[in-house]
Amino acid sequence: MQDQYDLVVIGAGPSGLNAASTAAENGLEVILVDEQEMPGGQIYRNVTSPKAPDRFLQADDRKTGQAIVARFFNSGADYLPNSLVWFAEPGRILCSCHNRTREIRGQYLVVATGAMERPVPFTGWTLPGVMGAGAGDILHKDAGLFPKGPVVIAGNGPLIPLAGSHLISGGVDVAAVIDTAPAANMIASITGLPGTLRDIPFMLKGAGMMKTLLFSKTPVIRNAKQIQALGNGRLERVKAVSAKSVREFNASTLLVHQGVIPRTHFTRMMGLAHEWDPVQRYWYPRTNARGKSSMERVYVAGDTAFVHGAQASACKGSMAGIDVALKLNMIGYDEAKSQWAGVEKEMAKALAPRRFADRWFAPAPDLYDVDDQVMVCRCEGVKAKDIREAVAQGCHQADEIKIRTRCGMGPCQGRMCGPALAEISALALDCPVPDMGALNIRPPVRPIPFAQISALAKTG
Amino acid sequence: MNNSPLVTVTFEGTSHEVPQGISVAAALLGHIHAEYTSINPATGEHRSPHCLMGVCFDCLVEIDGRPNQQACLTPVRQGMVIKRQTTLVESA
Repeated sequence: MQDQYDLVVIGAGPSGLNAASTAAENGLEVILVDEQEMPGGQIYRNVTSPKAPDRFLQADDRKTGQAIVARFFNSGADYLPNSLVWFAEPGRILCSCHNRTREIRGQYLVVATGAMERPVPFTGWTLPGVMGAGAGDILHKDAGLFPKGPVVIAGNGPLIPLAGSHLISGGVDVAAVIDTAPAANMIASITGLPGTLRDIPFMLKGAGMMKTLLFSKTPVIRNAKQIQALGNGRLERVKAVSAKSVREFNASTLLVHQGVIPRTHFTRMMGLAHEWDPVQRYWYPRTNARGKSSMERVYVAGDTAFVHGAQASACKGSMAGIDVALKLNMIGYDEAKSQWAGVEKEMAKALAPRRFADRWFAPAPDLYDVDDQVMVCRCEGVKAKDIREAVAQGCHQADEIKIRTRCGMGPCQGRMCGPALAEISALALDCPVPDMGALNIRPPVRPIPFAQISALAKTG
Repeated sequence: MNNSPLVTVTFEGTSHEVPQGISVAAALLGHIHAEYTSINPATGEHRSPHCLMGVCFDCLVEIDGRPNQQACLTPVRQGMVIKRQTTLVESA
């Protein structure tokens, strides 16, 4: 493995894999660096495992994932798994690989670090037994395991019907599905309905999941609010309010889901320009149609650029790979255009239902109107009241509140509390959320031992 | 799932056979039934894996004497020694 490449790709999900494959097939020297042991990202986690046929509940998804990975392994791109990238700037990255820091140089960089579940604090969300709905899905793809029942599934987002139907099909005791989607979302999503007609299989998939849920006679609580996880040392019960009545269920596992947001720690650490999406309420790095960011020689692809799902992510990766090949003169403009044309067609189809889905699954306006005692920063134990006090004392920027309260200073570096910190303080100040700014992210963007940084100084 | 080759790992001094190839977090949740995997140093609460995708850092454990390892990103290996992370430990 060399140390100098034409292109370095970070992240082995569908977009990173396709960016690497496309660039390598066009003759570039490419390396893909990923934190996991196997390629596939989260959506296609362990898709090449011999166990995958049992563990992917949708056979089509598995086959798509396996084809993307197979193409990557045939593309000639180098692959560096088990490696946490903790610094990047145009021209190079630093990653921690088997407890050693490695520097890899590349003329171009594609950041494809994917998405994460929107972290929304509520009473008891730190109790063992409370997990993300995505975590439940990963548990199955990674290890063929279902979470321990009885399970309650709560929130509003695409993974709610998915998790519900998967668990019911797997014979897991699902005590209830608690839907926190506001009734207004259904009206708002109507404008997106025509788009869904361009992707009938997408809608059928959704309808199939709803059918599994309804036929199972699992209690579905609609229009719910104030989810609470209760228990002594671990989850025992889940409580929610719906139509002014309080519902309570015994549960060993609570799977929560409030939608999906881009993972932007990396792009913010690099200082790329970001935009705020007012419907889905998240920051995303500004890119052009080919994925080029505000910084020369740096591209952002996949759900990191905007959450559009796996199929669109794969397309965005290919777009970026083609553009880098063009910039490095490995292909001419006409060739690039013809390669793009095929991808654009697929991309348009993948994007068609998004307007509908983004509005249906839009976060509720009062999602972050949480009680004073709710823990916002899981790592440092900072409560909503601490944030509100800091605001009252005159801290009017996310970073000022962080310094005052330690919210965002733990090992997760604000990944789990950053969005809530901004939302809760914006509510307190009665100002738009983007006015709070986003937390300033500095390298190392993953916690690593000091020894790995000092060893670098000795060698480099 | 039944015909997976197994590896032996130790958790808090007790040996467990778990399927090869799965993450430490999955082994702790689904096979070892660890109940909790760490004590948060700031709050003293019990914690266990939450996001399983490397984001939340609630699954930090000690593996083979090395603290601060993300259980959800680490595959199980034969002979691995896993311990709950119960204090804020500085890396050697």
